[in-house]
Amino acid sequence: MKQFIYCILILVAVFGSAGCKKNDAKPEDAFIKVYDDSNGNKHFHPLGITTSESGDGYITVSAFDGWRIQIMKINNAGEFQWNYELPSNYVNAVPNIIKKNGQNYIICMDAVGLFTYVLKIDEATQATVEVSSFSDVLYPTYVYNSGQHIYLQNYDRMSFETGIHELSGDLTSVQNSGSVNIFTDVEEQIVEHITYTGDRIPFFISTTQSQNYIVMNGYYNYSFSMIFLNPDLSFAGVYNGEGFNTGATAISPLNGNNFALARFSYDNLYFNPNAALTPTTIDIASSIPAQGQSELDPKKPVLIKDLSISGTTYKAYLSSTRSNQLLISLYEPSGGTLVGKKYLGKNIPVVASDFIQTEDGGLNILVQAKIMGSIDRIALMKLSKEQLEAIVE
Amino acid sequence: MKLNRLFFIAATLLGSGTIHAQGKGYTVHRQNKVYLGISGGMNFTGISPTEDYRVLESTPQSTNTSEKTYEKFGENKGSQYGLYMSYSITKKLSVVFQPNFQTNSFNYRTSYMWQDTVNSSDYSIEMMHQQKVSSVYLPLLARYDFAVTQFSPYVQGGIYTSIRHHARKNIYYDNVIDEEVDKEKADQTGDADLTQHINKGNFGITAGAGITYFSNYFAISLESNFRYGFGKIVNDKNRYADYTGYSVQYLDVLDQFKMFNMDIQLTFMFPIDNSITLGILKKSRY
Repeated sequence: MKQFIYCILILVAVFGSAGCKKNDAKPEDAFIKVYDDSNGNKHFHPLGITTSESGDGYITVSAFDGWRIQIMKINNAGEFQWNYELPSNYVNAVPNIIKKNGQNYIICMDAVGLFTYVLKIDEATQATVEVSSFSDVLYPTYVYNSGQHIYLQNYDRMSFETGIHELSGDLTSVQNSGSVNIFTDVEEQIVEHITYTGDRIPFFISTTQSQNYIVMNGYYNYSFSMIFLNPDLSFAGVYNGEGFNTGATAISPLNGNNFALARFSYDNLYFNPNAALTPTTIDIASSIPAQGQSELDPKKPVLIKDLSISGTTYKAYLSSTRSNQLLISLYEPSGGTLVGKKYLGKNIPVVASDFIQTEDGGLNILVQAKIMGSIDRIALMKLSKEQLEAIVE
Repeated sequence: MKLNRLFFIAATLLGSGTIHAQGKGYTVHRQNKVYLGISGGMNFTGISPTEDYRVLESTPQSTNTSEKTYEKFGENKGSQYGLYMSYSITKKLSVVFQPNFQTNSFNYRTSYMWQDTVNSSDYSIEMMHQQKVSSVYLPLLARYDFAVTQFSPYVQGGIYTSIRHHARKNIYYDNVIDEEVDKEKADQTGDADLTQHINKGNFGITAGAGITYFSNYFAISLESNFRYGFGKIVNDKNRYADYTGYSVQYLDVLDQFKMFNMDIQLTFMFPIDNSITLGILKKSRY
């Protein structure tokens, strides 16, 4: 009978050890946070996320009530710190928070004059400070910091042109400008875009890796096109869309004139993680070879950025499926091979707005979440380093 | 109700057995005997939250608190069934191993409200989150019988470990915040798999008391045991992995907590012996 007792004791000891397994997860490793507002009629549209000036958290910029602007600070665990709703004359913050000399800036528009403001986010006072305004730059649509220059895209409603402006280092003046002619009035689409009453238009600016060409996605020549510009902002080449129904959705530079690219064509989305483009060509966007992504929703944004996992840098595509999931697809940058995918959420209307890699090797994804099926709120989804590593395993 | 009837019948049997045994004056010879049996019953689960987690972050513009209200001990009903093995070291002291499959449930309520500033038609939702965790429990107990008669009350205590098998969750919800969600009338989500949100193993202490009726060929016990688990129930690493799909839509994330439960169960057991006549009953000297 002693054997009987020993056997039982061994069984309990073996299974008991499973219960003693150490679990050292920290609250900031992974989380989902939805930021509340008791006003059910207030709809938030997150636009961008960046590290805070003090380095102790993150700053987000979002639109609400159509085109008004809210700035919010959160800590590394996603906990709310403060928020600030800008006065109603400042509207239409454009995607990308600009970081310059450690400080964060946003570009927005005057609600009446439609011209452009540069505002500095002052974390000490939890408010913004007006840095400059450009009365000739109407309808700002996108801003991009290439590391060497800051480029601002806009739509000129008087001349029907898409403009691009190189700002000075202190963001107080325009150093150089260029434009391309649309030949038609697209103000209605622009207004729907900035007030969130229609489809969001995938405006962007980027450069080739050596910055010998600037790439701008915007209206040009009766179409929505990807336009290449020389460093002096003169026209170099273009991949034209077919009217407004095809074009590029997002790009991220690789070596030479190669880009990781996503493009749309009517109701379909296509990815090419290593597309060789010719900056001086005049071609159509749908001629760029790319793999169809039938499960993805072309009406929702696609974001492409570098993501470092276990010492390797991948091109990360963040997109939305037609069944309301977020999808992270990781591609090996040189060959463009798909190395892993991760679906986030389950049948929840979530729209990706921006993402940023965190200092601990994780990933902060800024999203718009439709909670209770109808209330649009800012949300942050944090994936831990281990969760990212699991994608490429 | 069926379970209650079963307990009633068992209690009646035990009661009549006691009278019968007292009438005959038998003693029970258990030393060095092994008993094998089966057990089944119901349990009630309690939750002891240790860390509070929430999806909805409060801001100066919010009124929602995201607090969870856990249902009382008696509301969280579950069931268990399993095997019974014991070895009597002395006449009164036994070692008991009682592996069983147990389903524990725990429920909590959350509510949220948003104002409709345009149509003056506020939106409210109250949700009852119902979780069921099924585990294999392996308790090892020392049992002390107070008597060697056929009718023997006893106490027992020991340790246990449990291995989570699976867990499920669904949410009942209505649009009136009144601290009550009527499951008959409320809408409900589908059943979602919660398994990966729950830690695989747990361990703890257990203690209980009961009464056994011994006959010549079998014994029947009615007992109640209390278990307290020392391990964390929720997997911290997977807390926000949202395997249920409810995190964003229903603003749901599990707190960290410890679990305790109390069961009431019936056990039918049989003495194992090589001889044809078991002879566990001997005439009482007194």
